[in-house]
Amino acid sequence: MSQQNKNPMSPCACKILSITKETDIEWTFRIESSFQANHGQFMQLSIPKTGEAPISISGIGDGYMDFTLRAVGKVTNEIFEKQVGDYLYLRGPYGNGWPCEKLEGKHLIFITGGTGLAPVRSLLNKFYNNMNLVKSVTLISGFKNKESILFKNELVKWKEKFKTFYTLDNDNIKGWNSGLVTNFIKEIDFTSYENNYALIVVGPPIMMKFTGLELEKHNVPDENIWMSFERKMSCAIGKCGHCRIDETYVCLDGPIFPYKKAKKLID
Amino acid sequence: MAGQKEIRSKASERMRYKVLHKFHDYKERFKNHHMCVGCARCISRCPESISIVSTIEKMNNAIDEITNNDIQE
Repeated sequence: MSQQNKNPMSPCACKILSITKETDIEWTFRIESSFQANHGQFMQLSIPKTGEAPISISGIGDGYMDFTLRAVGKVTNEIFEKQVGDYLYLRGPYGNGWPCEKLEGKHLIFITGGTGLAPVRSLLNKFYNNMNLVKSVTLISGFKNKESILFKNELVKWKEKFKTFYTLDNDNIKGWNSGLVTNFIKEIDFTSYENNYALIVVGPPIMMKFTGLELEKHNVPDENIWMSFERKMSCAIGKCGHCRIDETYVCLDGPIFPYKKAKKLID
Repeated sequence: MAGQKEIRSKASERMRYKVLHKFHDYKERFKNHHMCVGCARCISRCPESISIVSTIEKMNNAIDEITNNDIQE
């Protein structure tokens, strides 16, 4: 069956290969698909007669894609009732993806909050398997409490090659720091990177705003920071305007924006 | 965003979004046409008798007033 459909809005059925329960409310679905996607793009997952939801791709592999999602509404609640071997409908991929040519060869710093770790996970795994693409990787990842920690196995694996700071906002457990992610920005020595570095910030809107302000205080130039936005969407092809902020369509021009533009995107 | 409440909860925010969508933002992004073609079906159907034509006229008058005041000062 060809994945190219004449109707750009018609989805195609893909089988669920496995379900991993990261926490009680966030599960990762591995879905068999042959769509070619870049890191940072998203797909519209749908169930006929229920609806669609835009979910970012959290892992790309040979013939499959991972989606990490939380059950919060009509569509996602019904996705959680599916079993391995059932079919979900996918269309995509949409969005502009991480600008890999602007990130390779530099020192990279990832700052993520909560489920913001999901859209960067595929990029982190790409660099983990190929450390010669970048000079170094630092990961500051924060979660609300110990029940919301995602990707536990990979967090341990990434410690081998990345410089990591893992923190919890409210809890205090062994092996984890305590406090908000913005407290750890001062641990990074920006001057040692000689302006050959880039930052990636993903998380809830409040966290992204305060992280941006904290980075400005450390004199990080705007063009080194990239952010990924989350919006409610409908068509995801730039027609309906549900994701629109002023004249920027988040499904077309984003969801990844340079900080200079992301600062001004307030609804 | 997942599970949060609506982005535009006030009627004023929704009115601003609608007017800008029809008369400014689409053309700004795609450079071909405005989204409003002037058919007036919305005016004849509106349950609250809000006319988009009079909204635009009031906006234009307000902007003229502001720019005239700026020039005079």
